[in-house]
Amino acid sequence: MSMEVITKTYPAPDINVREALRYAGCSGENDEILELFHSCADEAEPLFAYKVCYCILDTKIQNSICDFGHFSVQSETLAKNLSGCEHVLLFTATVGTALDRLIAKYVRLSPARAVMLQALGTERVESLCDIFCGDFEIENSVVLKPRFSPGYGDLSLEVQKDIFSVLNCPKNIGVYLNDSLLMSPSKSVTAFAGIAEV
Amino acid sequence: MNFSEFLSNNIVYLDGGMGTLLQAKGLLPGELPERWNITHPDIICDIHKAYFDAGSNVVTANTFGANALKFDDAELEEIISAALSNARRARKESASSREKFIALDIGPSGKLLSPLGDLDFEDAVKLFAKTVRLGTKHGADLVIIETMNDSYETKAALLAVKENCNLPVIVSNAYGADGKLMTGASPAAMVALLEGMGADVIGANCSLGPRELRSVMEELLAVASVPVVFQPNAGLPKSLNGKTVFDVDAEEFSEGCRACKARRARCRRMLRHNA
Repeated sequence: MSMEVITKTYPAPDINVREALRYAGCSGENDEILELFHSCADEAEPLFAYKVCYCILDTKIQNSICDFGHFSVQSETLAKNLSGCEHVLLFTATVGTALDRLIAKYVRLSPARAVMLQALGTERVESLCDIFCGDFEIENSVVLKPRFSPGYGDLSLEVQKDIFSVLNCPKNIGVYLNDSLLMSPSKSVTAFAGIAEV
Repeated sequence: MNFSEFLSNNIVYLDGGMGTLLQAKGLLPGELPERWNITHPDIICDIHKAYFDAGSNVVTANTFGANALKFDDAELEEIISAALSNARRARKESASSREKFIALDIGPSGKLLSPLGDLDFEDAVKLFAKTVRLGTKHGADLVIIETMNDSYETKAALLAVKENCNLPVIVSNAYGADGKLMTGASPAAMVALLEGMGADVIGANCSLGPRELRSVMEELLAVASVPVVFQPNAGLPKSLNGKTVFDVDAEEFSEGCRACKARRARCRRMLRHNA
């Protein structure tokens, strides 16, 4: 399979309102919460830029060492997740920087709105990942294992440096790695997804 | 003749990509291409020479990512010195009779400036300043700031150039499909910013093919009072039946460039497979 890094843009996925409210910590829905949510969604939606960059890496799993050719990582939980896979889909997804500016504004003006926008941003990027992985499965006639991100289980955030080095995220989709190993824009996801042949 | 004199009376042909050519020669994912100035000088020189021979007036030295975030001071100077030396050798060996210039190439730092990221503006200026001083010391004819998708970082890079050398400077930004930079600036806003700071040439590169970049070029040409540079991609890599293909061929690319030449764009990039 190709090592080329491919970049894709997507239209807005359908919003999963219940999931977004779950991220906001809302135990239930009422008219006030829904009104706030939809107001935030209407304001934020034109600002989202849905982008993914990805590549496919050869994979060798030996005990807890996951060797991807260009780099390797020690993680028992990732090794278990990728068990049986000879290839892995490595990707970074983002909804862009504009939401971060909006959140920063509302942190000062309306904390409730900032919380809802945070939750919406999380739902958006996770929905983007779902759409991307689903499309990949269909286009390549494969089944993907559940995606696994740095920070999950015992997979260190340090692997972000290798991911960014391989995918060249700043150039390809405008996602940057801070010194803290967190990403900017904040609503970005990096993940491994093991490829199981159909 | 210096670059400014040539620019004032000619359409200037730049070169094409370097990274993809190095990948074809074996550059590994994650490997820093700038190190090839030292480890593979002949390959670098051959690429430059091919562009000169194909008609480029300017080659960009292999210094796109050469900055102090990636290299310590000693290695940074060694890389920049080697990069410019390789380009000079290519110029000497080229059979082209055209005017030939060598640009110090400055790409994004790889960090997002605060408040969106964690690189302070003044630190970004200092970072780029180091590269500019070394490029000037080792004989660049001009500076190209390119593929910048953030207006704030572009400002930092241009400020570093203006404060540390007297070389002409081309500034080229990477616009998205919405016709704006990643952080929101429009072409008109960039013209106001960059002309105000004294950029000699302003334009757009990468991300989009000639057709998609045309609206950006139209806006730049409508408001700029300095020459405009046009450096589109040959489309974007797409996966088709398990293979990677580019969706803009040489003919379409050439047609797109001809259309912009008709609109009096002053510089343009040559597609590598036209070389």
